[in-house]
Amino acid sequence: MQILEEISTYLQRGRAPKVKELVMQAIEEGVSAETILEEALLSSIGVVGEKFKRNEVFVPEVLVAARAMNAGVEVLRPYLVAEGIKNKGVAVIGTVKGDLHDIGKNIVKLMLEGKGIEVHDLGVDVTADTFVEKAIEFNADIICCSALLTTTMAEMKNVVLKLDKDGLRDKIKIMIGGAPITDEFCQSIGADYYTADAASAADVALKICKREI
Amino acid sequence: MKSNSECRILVLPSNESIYKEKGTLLLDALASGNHSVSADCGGRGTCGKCRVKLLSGSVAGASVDSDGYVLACRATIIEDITVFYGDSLHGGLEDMKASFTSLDKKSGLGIALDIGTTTVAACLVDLESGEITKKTSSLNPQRSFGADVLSRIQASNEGKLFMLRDAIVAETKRIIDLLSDGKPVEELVISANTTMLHLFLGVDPASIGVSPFVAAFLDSRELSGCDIGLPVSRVTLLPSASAYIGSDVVSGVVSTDLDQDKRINMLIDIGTNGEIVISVGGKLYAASTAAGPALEGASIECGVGGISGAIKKVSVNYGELDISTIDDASPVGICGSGLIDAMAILVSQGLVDECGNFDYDCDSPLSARLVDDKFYLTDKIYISKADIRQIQLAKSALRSGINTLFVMSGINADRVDSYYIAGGLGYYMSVESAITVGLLPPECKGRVEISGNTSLSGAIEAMLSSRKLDKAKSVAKMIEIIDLAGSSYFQNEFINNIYFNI
Repeated sequence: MQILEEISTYLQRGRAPKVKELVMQAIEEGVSAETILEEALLSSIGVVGEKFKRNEVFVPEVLVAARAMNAGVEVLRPYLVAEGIKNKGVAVIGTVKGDLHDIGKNIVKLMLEGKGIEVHDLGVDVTADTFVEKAIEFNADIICCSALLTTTMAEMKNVVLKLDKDGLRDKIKIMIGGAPITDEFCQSIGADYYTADAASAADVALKICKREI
Repeated sequence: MKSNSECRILVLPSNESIYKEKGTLLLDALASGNHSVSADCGGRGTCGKCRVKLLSGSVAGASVDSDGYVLACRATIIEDITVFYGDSLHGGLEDMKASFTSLDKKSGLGIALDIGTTTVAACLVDLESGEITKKTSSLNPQRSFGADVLSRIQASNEGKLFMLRDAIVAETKRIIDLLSDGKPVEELVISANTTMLHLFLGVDPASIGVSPFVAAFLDSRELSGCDIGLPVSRVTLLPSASAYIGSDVVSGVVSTDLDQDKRINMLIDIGTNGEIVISVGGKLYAASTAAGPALEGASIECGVGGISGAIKKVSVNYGELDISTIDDASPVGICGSGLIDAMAILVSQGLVDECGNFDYDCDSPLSARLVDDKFYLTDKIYISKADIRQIQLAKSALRSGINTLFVMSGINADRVDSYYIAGGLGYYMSVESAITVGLLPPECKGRVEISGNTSLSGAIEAMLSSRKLDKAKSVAKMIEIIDLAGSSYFQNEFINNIYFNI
């Protein structure tokens, strides 16, 4: 459909007002909210995520594209509720205790939202207890932990221990990421998944929600 | 001598033999000898800076690449081996004055020591005349524990605090012996970042590594040399202002006389951490920003430190690239100053767009050098798309820090009288290129004072004059710290400054 392609083009360029306007126009033309969400908004942010992974676009472009996507989603929200569209899963995300960096975390959040996952952002400097409490409160499938500092990444282990202690490891999966993290580290602390970039994180998160892994 | 379970590691070209138990990590074995190997990532196997060439024998845990190199941080020793590892050169003594003014009535010899995260630099000073009689610089032996302060703190958290302390104290003793030639040394004055000062005294730096980033001590420390096993009478550690504004910055303020009345001055120390101080009519504001090691050549694919053959300068002449290397040797990689020049050329020729993407349709005479998302400076040395991203993050961090200090102090960039640029990279880089890339504000043109190692100069001045030492103490208390991590202005600026001005 012509209009969906147009929305996609403007979204990838980060033109929020134009995206908003075209989403409204599509609704008026009778396109279903679900189709607009899936085929124009979510797929486009997925394209941006893939480009980010290949170094073709960078942090600012991802953030403006995200702003444009959110503008479109806001317009769609009442229609989605009316159509009874449900999310594909729930995640809580945050930067671990002692760490204040949030740009990487924000990008992962977006990419997960781009896959249709409902994401609750717990912010920065989040304690292990808060991660687990909030995951229970929102009935989350995934806890996503971010750390940028080698001195704070050890805190991720506490999230694993807390979830172990509460006996929730079967129900909730732990994904970790951030510049100093490696797969080796992920295994050493007993977390479930590590991904090197935001686009891969979204792929893994979707598989977790669909119980494919 | 070697027992049955020990293996011999022969290191060329130094011809040193190291004996270690089977199962020892090659990195640790080399570090125990006279070699400090870079492990910028702290031994996680991700940075590739500890590559050594395996000439004979085999190792476990690491694969040998097609050129015969292995990662020392992954390789475990299982038999006798021969490796090739050449230590790199180092700066730290750029533009050091030959003598300083001695105001106090002192006599004998003193040593001023600047402990950088990467480089250690020292001067032997005649306390009576103020003359510098000898100087030396070397690499901080702690770098095999990681390139930046955070990986050192992490190493300390993992129980290696006293190994870190012993490494730097041993290096200090070696420097004292080298400079003094057996003559008695009265004073040792040390200027360093806050983490290095903690490690020097064996004080746990853990709280510097996590929010809210608090240091265990900031005040100046006076000890006797025998307390810490050093052959000097007195040791003075200069005072710091905060966990990330150390005595190296305080020294810099003292040596540049930054806080003069009626003037507005800015001190910018460019390194792995960029530190910025602005003085407005004697009031001081400071911020520290994690620029990352990219600008020093680390985490850049063809990046190297200031070694022989490093590309240090790049310019365009009649449509051709003009490249010069350290020692005019054949090019082996690119160091910080060359990287900034090359990036400036990409920007000014339009070979990248404002977002940092290569523009293949650009009509620059250099566009033939753009191949497969790489810009080739020589047939082997290039700047990749990922490298540009690293540069963008680094330059934005520093520039956004500078802009945030302007806003917090209510000053416009064009009202600054002098910009003092400190540090080794600042000494070698072209200010023009730094402006083109966006590292420095355009307003600094014509007002830059290249100041070299201001941390070391400040340590010398504090050693020669008790008035300067008192000054350092008052500066450390006076500096108002601007917390960038918690500043929403900084966060916004950081996103804006990732772009290039085309």
